[in-house]
Amino acid sequence: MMRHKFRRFGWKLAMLCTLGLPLTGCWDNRPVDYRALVFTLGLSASSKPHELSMLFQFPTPPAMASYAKGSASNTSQSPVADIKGHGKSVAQCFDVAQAQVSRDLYLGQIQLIAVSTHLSSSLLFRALDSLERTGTFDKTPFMFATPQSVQSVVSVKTNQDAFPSLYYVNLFSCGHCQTESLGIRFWQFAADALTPGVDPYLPEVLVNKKSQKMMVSQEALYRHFTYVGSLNPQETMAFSLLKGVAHKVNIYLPHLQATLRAIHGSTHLSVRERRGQVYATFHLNLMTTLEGIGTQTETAAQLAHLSKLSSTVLAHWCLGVLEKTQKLDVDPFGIGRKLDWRYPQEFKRFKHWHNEYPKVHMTVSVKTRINKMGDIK
Amino acid sequence: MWPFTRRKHHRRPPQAHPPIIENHLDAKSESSQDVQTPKDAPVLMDNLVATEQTLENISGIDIGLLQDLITETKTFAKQLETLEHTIKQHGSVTQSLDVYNGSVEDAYNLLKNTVGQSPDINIRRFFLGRVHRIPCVLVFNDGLAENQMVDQDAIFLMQRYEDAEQLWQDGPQIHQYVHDSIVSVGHVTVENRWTKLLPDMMGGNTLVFIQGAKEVLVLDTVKYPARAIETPDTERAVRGPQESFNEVALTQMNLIRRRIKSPALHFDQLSIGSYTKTMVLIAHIEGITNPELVMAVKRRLRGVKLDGLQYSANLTPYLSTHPSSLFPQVRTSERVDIVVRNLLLGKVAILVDNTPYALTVPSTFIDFYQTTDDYTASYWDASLERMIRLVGLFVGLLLPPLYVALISVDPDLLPVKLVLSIAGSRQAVPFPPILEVLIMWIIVEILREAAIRLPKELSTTLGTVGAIVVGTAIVKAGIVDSVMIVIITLTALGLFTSPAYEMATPWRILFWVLIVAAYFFGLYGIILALLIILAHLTSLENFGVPYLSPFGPIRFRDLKDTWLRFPTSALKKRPVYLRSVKTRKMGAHVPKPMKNPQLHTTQRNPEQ
Repeated sequence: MMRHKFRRFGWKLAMLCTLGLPLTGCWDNRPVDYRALVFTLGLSASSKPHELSMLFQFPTPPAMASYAKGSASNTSQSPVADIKGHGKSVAQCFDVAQAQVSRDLYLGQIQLIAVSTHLSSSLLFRALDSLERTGTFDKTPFMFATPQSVQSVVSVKTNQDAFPSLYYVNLFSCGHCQTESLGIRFWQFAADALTPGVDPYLPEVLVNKKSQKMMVSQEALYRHFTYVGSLNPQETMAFSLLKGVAHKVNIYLPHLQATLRAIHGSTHLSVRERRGQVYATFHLNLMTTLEGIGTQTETAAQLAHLSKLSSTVLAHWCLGVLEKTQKLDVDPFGIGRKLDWRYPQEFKRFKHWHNEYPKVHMTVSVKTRINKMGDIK
Repeated sequence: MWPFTRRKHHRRPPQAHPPIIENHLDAKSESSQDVQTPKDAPVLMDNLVATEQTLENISGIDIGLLQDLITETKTFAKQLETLEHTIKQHGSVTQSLDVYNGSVEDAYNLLKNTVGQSPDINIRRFFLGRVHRIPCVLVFNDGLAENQMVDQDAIFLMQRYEDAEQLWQDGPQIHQYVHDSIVSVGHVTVENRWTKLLPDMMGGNTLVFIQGAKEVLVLDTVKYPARAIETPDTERAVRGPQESFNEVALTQMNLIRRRIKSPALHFDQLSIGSYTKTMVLIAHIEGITNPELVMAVKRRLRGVKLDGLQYSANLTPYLSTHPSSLFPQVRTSERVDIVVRNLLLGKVAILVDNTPYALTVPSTFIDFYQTTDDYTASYWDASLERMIRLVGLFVGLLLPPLYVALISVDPDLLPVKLVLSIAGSRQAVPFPPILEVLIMWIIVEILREAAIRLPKELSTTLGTVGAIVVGTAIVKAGIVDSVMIVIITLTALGLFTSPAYEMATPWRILFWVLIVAAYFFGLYGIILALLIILAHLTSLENFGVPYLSPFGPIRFRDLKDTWLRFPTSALKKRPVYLRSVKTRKMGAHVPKPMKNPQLHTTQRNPEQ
């Protein structure tokens, strides 16, 4: 009886193992050292119409070995390998690229997606949609846009990190380290692009061709997946203040020869609708530190004056950005989304939010509190 | 009538015989002369001896077997002779052959022909009394019985006794007079069954057979050669008592009794092993321990049928409800204080003679992670150490499977810098991660096994060699990754953070289950395997106590002494799962010095 029972159990176990093992997918598993770990993915338009050009950048094995040992890599050789693939879809591009690499081109470690601003909205949508459906792709890489050649931007050598992708990842992941926290992840971009009442935006990276220095101080604005324009550095500062992601914004007030640094604070957006008119109010509660003033010492009255003056200046900057976005018909602040939450019936009445956005009455209220050196915040 | 009527056994009432004490030493008794040897027996013996002599003269023949046969035949003949005599003497009386018949000569013959063949058994005939001499036989095991006690407290006093005439009047109760008035051994009992007498004698007791007495005196002259009480090597404690059990059950009892002086402490004795007759003591505290638990333990142990019981570990399958489980369900400890603590909690301890490791039941999972130091240090210390043990367990168990899963199956979950480091360091390694783990773990197991077997001085050297030479060399040789050395070192240390050695074994086995699950299924496999392990742990119970108590079923009160140890004042009650008779283990009102500042009051100046 017991023997029969054990035999039956053995059969069951064998069947489970037989069925379970092919289902595990373990036959495709390769250790990391057998894979080409793609860290950066570049998306740009191909020379052929309606074709996508993808750049797969991965660190070379010698560079990784040097990195693991903590020693400096060979400066004559690039630490990364760039493989390009062209095709009408991501899969075609991938196949072309895989044919050029001896190892398994692995997309599970993508840290960065560089998007050319010249890429058409249909191609961008198709590429991002395909990536989103890739099982190993984890939807958390940072994205940025560039009007320059994607390869030149992602392959710039930097002496700050062993690999360019690491530089960008450090730059975008440490929000408080930067003047403005501009990092946007894949899922954030996709969510903004597909949600009614809000438009996505990406940090824009520019490389000085002469000095080969990277600059990340601008924002690229998108309407859904279509690139519509960029904000300049000052507008980007105001934009970050309006989004509440500014950390180290500085202004110089020539009237008092005063410098206010590390302007940061929270933002509250309130939206209301009255008789078909939408009103949006941004309340900015900012804090800053007085770095210097022409009179060397400051009085309470001077500080109050400075506070008022800086609030006015910043409010003008913010209004300028808001006007620009209204001109471009893009709503990166999510005013429409907020309206949808607050007044869903009224929002449904608008056929196209982009037609309504330029008509929104914008108000910016800025309160700046100046901390002196030594104040406890 | 049969089978509806019972046949009545009419026993003849014992007749009142006058006290007749025969002297078997001076002359052969009549009864022994009546014994007739079978006619063919001498012929057979003569033939055997003649054959032996013939074969001795022929070279090249091993006559050892024949000599053995002759010896065995002689012994068998003597045994038959004794048996025949006994039967004849009691032919008219219904009496079991197992019962001593009162004849020292018969007893002597029986002993001589059975246990007397063994060189460690001393059989001595002597007379009780100086004037009126009563024949006696004394038998003891040389080495297990103390010779001084046998000589001075028994033989000397009995031989020098002058009023032996008085003894005659006592007849069959003569042993009672000897017991009361002559021998000066502290512990003396009487017994008349051979099946009890012989094991008693083999255990170190001395048997005194007195002619005419119907009982035999059993003198407790036991004195074992015993190891001294030493420091517990397997369960070290920094600040706890440094006494461990030794192999003698009596000493084990003494050590516990020294700590629990209450008469409520009971030791119930059992004898297990049809040949070894090993003494097993079931210790519990009456009034605290659940009586049903004690009964259950006794019931289980009484059911143990073994030829021999050498180690207390042999009893664990009988004390475990799930003996095939990997996880130990009986806590084994050589520390006296741990056993005493468990007794005071309401558990049952089982002491086994010849084994220095006591067993305590019922034991839960958390019992294997509690040490003496947890109770000798402050509760901050204890809680920290227990948490470290928990972390050690998880690190030891999960680090290599996580490594295998993240490197082989789910590299997308690794942080970018870590994946760069690992991929970089693995560039020259020719083996997959699972093989790396296998190689390193085999090396660690070999080192561990060798370190246990070697002397302490050599094992230290071996550890150094293993850690430095093998560890460094194997990385330089490119066989394994440097990260793997770190992982395996942490694993080897982590898995042994359990204070109880027996708890490390299941994790060492399950470690491989997790590795295989990680290799095939990745993180999903690890979680699946952990869930299966957890389900198994939850299903275990012993003596009605769930193994995962007090976590499952959750007992919030008992959680105070688990991975965190609360202050002693918070541990007022015994664990719920033990269902103790007395639930509270300390007074209801714990004095709090700062709230009752009597000292401050008394020190105040009354004049102020």
